[in-house]
Amino acid sequence: MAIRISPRPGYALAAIVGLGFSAISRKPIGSARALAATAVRAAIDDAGLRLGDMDGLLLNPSSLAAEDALPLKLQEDIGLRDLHLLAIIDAKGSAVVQMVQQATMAIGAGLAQCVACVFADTPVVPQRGAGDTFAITSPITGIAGWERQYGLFGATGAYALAARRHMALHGWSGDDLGAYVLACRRWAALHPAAALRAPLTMEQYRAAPWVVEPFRLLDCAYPMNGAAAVVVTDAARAADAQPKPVYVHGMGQGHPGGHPCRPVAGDGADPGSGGALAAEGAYRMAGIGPADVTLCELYDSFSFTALLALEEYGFCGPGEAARFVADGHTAPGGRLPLNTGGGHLAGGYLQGMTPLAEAVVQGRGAGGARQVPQPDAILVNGSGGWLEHHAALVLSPHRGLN
Amino acid sequence: MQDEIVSDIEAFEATFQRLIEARDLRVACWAGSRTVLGYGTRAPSAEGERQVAWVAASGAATLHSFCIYHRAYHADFPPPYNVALVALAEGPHLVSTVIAAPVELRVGMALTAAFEPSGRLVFHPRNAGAVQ
Repeated sequence: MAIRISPRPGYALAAIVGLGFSAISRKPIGSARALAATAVRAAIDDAGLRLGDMDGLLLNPSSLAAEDALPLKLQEDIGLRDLHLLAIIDAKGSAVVQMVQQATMAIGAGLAQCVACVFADTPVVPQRGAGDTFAITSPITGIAGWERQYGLFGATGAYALAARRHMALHGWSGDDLGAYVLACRRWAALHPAAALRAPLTMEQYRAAPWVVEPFRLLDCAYPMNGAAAVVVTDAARAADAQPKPVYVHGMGQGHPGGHPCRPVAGDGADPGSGGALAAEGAYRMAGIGPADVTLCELYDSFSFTALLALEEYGFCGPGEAARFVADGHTAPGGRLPLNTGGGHLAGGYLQGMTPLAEAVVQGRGAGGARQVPQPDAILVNGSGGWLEHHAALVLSPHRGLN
Repeated sequence: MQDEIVSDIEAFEATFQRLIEARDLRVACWAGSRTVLGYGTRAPSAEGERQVAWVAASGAATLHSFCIYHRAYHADFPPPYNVALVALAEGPHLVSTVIAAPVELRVGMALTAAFEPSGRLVFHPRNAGAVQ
């Protein structure tokens, strides 16, 4: 018999009731393991729960972190006992969203009742640029070691290839990426904890150095050392929670296989990213469509990543995201607020926890100067690899969405 | 056909590498159906085919996408340099580089494959006098 995760579309089974952070810094502040323990305890406190209330723990180390950077033994560091759910989730940049999905499914299946989900990473180390931490070769061709001879280092190159093709097909310029970067800075200026809050002009954007063209330094996520955690519990238990619960209404994933502009088969069209697949599942489960979404918190490893997501999650037609953003629709005061904490580019890069945490803050109505007026249907996504792994959530402060 | 090498899917990567070391660019297809395969293929077809025919590539290609590195990630690769995603005329895509100035690069431009003296596969803009 199939497990029914949602009793009916638009009516949530689970909710996020706790949000916690460690210190977050560009300086060394301890191990990912220690930071994760701090964040989990903070999330449990935030939820008004005790350690003994928790029966699930999901961990997401960076896929580039050293093995055992975030081990299952974290359970003991935190002091959690008798868990019914414990796992490390590895799905690149979609893993944070997948943790919430796994927690929700476990709760729906009766496997667990209160699950903490934590991400931690320490990519910024002394005497080394943070970009070096992410400078692995990207095996796009499918032949082991092939890309090494061409110097395709880092996710930046793989994403730049996808961006260049999309930009060429749709006539985008560098300023189209810049418009998104500027919008993020405008949101970050309203967020006291954002990493990069200084106003930015297009001239300043154009003056930023290239990293891998078409990406300038300001098109890239701003890595931070730190950890963040959420607590997911069943919706009935969450009903009286303080702070206000943020309910999980829709979940979807998309993994088309291959690089978004390298057909998996010998020929054929570009496969695209996993965004459209993930969107389809999340919207179907929530019983809504993109026109119902009032707030987006999208994974922006690069400026292009969020622009492409606007199209693949149904807010714009193919190639139309640049105009949509340039017209101000995603900036403060716009009709579709996007990455209201500044996103990964200006808020700080916690690999998917940045958009998820901001969604919780907004759903609670705790966004202060950056609070959007109607966070009724919030789309959160995570994407990673070379955009071929997507996971999405539809969240809401309301238990009934329709 | 004399210009084909048939091998099992399990030997896909080793066969490709051996051909490249011999400066012989080929594309793979299922020996039976002749369906062209991507270079990432590693499993039998849905129909159970596992014999692979390696067919000589024409060397003709188009520039599917490219990027230009301005940041140094490794001493062997002083910037600027380009990394290209190339679509062979036969269908498969692979990462390579185009021997051309950055301002000459355009998505969709015609390319021709060549091997450098080191044995590295590169591409030249077509009509630039490149030989395979």
